[in-house]
Amino acid sequence: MCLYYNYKLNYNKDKEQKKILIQEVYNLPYKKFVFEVPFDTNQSREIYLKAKFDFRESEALDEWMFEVKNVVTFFSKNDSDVIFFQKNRLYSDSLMEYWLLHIVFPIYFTLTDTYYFLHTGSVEIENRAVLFMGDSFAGKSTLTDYFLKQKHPLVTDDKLPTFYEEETFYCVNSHPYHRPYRKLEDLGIKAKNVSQGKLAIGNIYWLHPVAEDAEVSIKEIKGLKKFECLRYATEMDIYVHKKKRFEYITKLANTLHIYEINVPRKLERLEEVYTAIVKHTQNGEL
Amino acid sequence: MTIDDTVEILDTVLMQEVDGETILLDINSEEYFSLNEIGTMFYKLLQEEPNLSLALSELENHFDVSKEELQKDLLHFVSTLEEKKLLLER
Repeated sequence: MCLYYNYKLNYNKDKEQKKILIQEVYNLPYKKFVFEVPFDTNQSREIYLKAKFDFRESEALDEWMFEVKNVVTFFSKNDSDVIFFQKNRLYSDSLMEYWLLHIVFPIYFTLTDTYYFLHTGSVEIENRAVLFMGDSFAGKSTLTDYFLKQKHPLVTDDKLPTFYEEETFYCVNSHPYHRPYRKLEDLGIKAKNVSQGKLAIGNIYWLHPVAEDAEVSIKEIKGLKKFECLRYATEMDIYVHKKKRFEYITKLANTLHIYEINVPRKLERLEEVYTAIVKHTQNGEL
Repeated sequence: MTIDDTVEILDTVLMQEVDGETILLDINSEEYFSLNEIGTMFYKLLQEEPNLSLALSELENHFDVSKEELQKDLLHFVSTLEEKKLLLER
């Protein structure tokens, strides 16, 4: 007997909600998926993307497996609305959901060339998505959380599905969880106020942590550095569609504005950062 | 490499511009490079004219410097790209 999950996705470009069936199986064809690309260790787990051949020079990957070692293995095809999974020794429903939301859906939508994923926090300000990027520990989730507390809808806590349509870059909400803390394999807190449908992408802020007493300031980033910010923030850079993805990221760089904001390393000063961003986005910079 | 050589820009190297700066991405190594305005002009010309001596003649029409100096700059440019595996001597 199989378990079925009819997963309600927020990944909807259109009004109709996309439905993907998540189905348990017991006989994944492991032996045929001989080629594997290890990802960096994530949440202290070994994780792999697997295929029947070396897909690193390929334009597309039609069938794939994603394995979280000893926990769960997922399998899907590009033309399918079903993602299969097989439980492994350390399986639990919550672990399956965590990996599904954080990695498997982004892989699925990247390989089907539906979305380009950015690693960023994002909230809605005046009907646009404003993005917070930066290095690890730059404070993306902390700032996103601060905006949520000021009643701005959540777009995403860390992975943003983006797409280009009618000469505009848009994004959609991926899942409603946010995690203003570090805890392994934890989905986080479910936000009550979440953006709905597609949103045009507004300003992007690159968070630059500075000394506690430094000034909050904003300056625009241009050229190669701008490209480097977006490349750094690229999620699911998994070999396929390389040319298309390079064109996408450079178009994104040529269309949107990226600003570096100095963020003092002091929680009590987040209000200043918040005010500076809101004022900056309202001064015709969106 | 000499001025009598012909080069081939690899099709695994992609080029795009961001805010007027040229960015090259080697899709094999995933490394990227930026070119300034003159480098961009050299690169675009080599895409059209891979024969270095013919490329040099074309460049002479655009720069007010001696042919020797231009040749030195062009050879230095192609050697750098070759070193980075962005082009091959044909």
